[in-house]
Amino acid sequence: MAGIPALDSDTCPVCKSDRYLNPTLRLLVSPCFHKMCDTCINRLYLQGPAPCPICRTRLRKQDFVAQTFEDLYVEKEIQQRKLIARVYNKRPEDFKNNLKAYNNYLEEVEDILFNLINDIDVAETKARIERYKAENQQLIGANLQKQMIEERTVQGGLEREKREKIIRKETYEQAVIEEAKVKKQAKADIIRRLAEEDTSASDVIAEAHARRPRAPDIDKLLQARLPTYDDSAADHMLVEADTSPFEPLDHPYAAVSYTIIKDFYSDPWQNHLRMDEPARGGLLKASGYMPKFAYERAITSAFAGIFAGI
Amino acid sequence: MKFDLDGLPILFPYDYIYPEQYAYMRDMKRALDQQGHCLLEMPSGTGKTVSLLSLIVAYQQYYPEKRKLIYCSRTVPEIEKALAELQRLMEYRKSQGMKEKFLGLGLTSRRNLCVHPEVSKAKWGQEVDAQCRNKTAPWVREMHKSDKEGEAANAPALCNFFEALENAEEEASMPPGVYTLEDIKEWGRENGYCPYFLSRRMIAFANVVIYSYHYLLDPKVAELVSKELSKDCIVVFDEAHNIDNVCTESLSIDITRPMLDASARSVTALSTRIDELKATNSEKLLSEYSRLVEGLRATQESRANEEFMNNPILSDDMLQEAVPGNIRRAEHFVAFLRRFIEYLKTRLRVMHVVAESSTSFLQHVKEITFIDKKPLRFCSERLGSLIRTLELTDLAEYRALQTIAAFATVVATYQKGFILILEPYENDMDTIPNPVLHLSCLDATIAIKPVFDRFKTVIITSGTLSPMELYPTLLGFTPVVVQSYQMTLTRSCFLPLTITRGSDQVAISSKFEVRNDLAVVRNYGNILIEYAKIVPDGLVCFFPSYLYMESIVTAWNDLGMLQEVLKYKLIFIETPDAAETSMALENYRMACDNGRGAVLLSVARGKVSEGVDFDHNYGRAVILFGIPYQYTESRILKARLEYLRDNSKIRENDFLTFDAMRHGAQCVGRVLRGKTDYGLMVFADKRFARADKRSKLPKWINAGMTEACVNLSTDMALAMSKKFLRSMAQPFEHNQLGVSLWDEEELRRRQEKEARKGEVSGHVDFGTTAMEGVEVAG
Repeated sequence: MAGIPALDSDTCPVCKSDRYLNPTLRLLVSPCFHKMCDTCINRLYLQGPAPCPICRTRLRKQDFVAQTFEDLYVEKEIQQRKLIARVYNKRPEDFKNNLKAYNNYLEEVEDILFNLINDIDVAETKARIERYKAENQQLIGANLQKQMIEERTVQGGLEREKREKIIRKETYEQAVIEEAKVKKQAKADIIRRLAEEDTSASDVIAEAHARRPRAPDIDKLLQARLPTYDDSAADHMLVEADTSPFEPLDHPYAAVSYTIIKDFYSDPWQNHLRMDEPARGGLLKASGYMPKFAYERAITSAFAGIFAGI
Repeated sequence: MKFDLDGLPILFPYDYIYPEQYAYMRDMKRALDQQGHCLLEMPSGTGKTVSLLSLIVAYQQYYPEKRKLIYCSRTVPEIEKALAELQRLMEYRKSQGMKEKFLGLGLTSRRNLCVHPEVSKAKWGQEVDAQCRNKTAPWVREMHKSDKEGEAANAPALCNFFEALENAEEEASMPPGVYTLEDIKEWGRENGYCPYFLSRRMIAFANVVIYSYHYLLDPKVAELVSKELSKDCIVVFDEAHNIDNVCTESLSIDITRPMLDASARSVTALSTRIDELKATNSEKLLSEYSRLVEGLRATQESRANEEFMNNPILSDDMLQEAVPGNIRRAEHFVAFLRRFIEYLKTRLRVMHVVAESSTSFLQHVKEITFIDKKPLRFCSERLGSLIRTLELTDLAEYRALQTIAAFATVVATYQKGFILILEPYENDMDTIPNPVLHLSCLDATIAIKPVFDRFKTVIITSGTLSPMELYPTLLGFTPVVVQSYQMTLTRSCFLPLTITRGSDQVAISSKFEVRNDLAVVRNYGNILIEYAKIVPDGLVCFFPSYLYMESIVTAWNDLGMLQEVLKYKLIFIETPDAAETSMALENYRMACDNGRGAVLLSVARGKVSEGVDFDHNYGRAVILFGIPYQYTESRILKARLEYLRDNSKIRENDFLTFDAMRHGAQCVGRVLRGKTDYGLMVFADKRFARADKRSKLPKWINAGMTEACVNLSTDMALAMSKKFLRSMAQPFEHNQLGVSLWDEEELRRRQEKEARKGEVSGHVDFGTTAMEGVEVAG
């Protein structure tokens, strides 16, 4: 939040200086939810970690953050929520759309948060969270992923909307300018004709009226200018991730062969390779070498260029 | 008189009928027969209400379905007028020997209907509402019933009128008849029944109900009052030229810093109350909780008297699901509310203007506070349930919180057609922040769609609906009849004039660039002086805005022009303050009555331009100084224009002109309230001469505007006005019969003629029947 003006209490609880004495006073909040002015923070934590003057928690300078909410209780609550939201992130789909079960789950999460925020059975609750975390490790990870994709989609949608809005506006404004121009032109035309031609004035006007320029169709203009989006692309991202184990050799991008290599080609240039007919050649007899390799290389190099453009 | 209209016998409570009234009734009957919507424009002062009522009452009594009439008007005086008209009609029908069991009544707020000796003394409507609710809430009554001496001592005393009504059997209803608001109060007082709840209860049995727009359009109230109306009701919106604004306003919510502070206090109060209840009587909370778990909507909700928490979304979008789990427990919900309020506070601290869509707002809420869309949607419903459970009695204190909850529900329910605008300063020049978060509805169709969907026939009518082609788009419906009627006159009793330049030939206009030019100011001043000299009695002037009126009146004063006007007439001025204005109006009338004559300076969108009539000597001329365009720099207006452009294909300029012209027509229409009346309509702006502006005026005004009076300078206009006033001052022969007045005989003759014509051509155009009369006169 940019430019936060004065919050309710403007006195540093540590040094008791207030905005009247120090107009540049800036209050920051520690992880233990105690306010302090930045002068005090510098003074206390310049040498490294030190205890909080109010509750004695060990703090560092970097731990202090600007306050988002006026109510520190809410500030604390939000921080807890941030942590919990990374663990408890089941979605209605995970309950097979059983609304009641989902609602019960939501309430359970709310209960946990309530305990944490109001310091009720903290240790036990924390243990409970850990337990849950261990049990649902996989689901949590998958849901985090989904959440991220979802957020990205929404963000993308919003940005797209913004862009479209600007395009719409520009198109409309252009159309209006264009229209005014055409109208002016038509008017000038009438005057010119009245001055130069012999036809009667009423005829000229009637004719001009008949040929009156139509307003440009904004829809058509827009259609040409608005970029088209493939909505399925966004949906595609939300499709369940494939959970089967990864097989490197089965991968669609592994090796694709577009050719079949036969055992025999009638190619005079390579006849000398043929071992089955020693009479004709069978010159190359190095161990393990087979004529197939030569064919393969020839074919691969012949086709290598063809698919380059795909 | 009694006549037959396409096989429907109609009793009309006057001896004569205007041709346009006849045409109006025929078109309306067509729409009723086809069960479609219609849009009718008929000049004010031609007896719109009476023709409407007599047709629909005849229709309803003649056909066995007995379709109920819901007549919506704008203000309480208009409701009273309509009720009086209905009373007269029913008396006439009775005198004609019709024996009917007929109940007609009006409904208005508690403030106007309360008869309780203490509550009715409260000054503000909301105060009356709050006090009444405190006395009639079911738990308060329960408290009194269960233990007489204990808690009851602290609880507010009950209202005897309401108790009597509750204890009475269902049959103890009102005898048939037509009750005006005063009548029903009287009847309630005599019989010891609460008139407000009585009339609400009787709506189900009434044949004609007359009430304000809001009971049908505002979803917060419509759900309670108008839920049980059946599908074949006939719905009429009278004076409906502003109906799109009523629709958008009914769904728009503004949030300010004090409101947030008040609701934060209410949240604290709620949480202490919850703690108390937990300690003393946790059963109630538990039972509420289990009810919410089961997903049952509160069962007693349908009870008429429980209306402390109004759901701001429309019945169509009403949620049928259970309340989400994370706001099921009372303490969770309270924490939820606190979080949301804190979030809104951080939003209000931003020091620059922000405009965003609901989607992006919800996204941001989620990012910052981890609040999902779904619990937000349920916010108002959940708050209502909590208030019921906690049995709160001082509901007035929770009003701010209720608004916040309504805000949450609306923003999470509608993704399209809404915009959120944060304005940190009241206007751009201010340096002290006064942030307001507007949740503004841009789409009038959202609020009115359920009405069109639910009822087969909706009639939209007004004196000034032009340009009519825009309304179906704005409101999203397809009318079966669209008709504009002219006035049939034996003499042209009004004269529209367009003054485009002053006597010195300098063009006059209220265009922003030139409006403060000395030449324009002086020319406008001259028009006022000259008209003050020649117009008898009252003269009403309208300006586009308070700001402009202030600046120009100051300039006139400096030029000594006001002194000049004061030689001829007294000057009264409208201010934004309602009490001051009504005083000015009263004194203006007095000055007109005693022959001194007066000038009233007012604003085209102010209180005077809507609903105050300047008939006869109260207004012999209206001068419109400039075109009453809206303040185009307003961000909400800009957003709405953009929305209309992108979604309804209405151009920005078209809408602005349409809006300006309908207000202009409304202003000048004030001067003529009947056929014996006469008046001048002066349009003083060069832009009025343009065809695109003129074409947007109502047909009946346009008919009087000849080419000769379109492009005038001040002196020419004055000459024409003098001539007009002189001719109007001649004794008026009331020999209108057969031209602009038909008796039974004449009507029958015309019907026969029409029938013959209809046989030949296959259809009859009733719009032209009105014109025929004029031709005969000529």
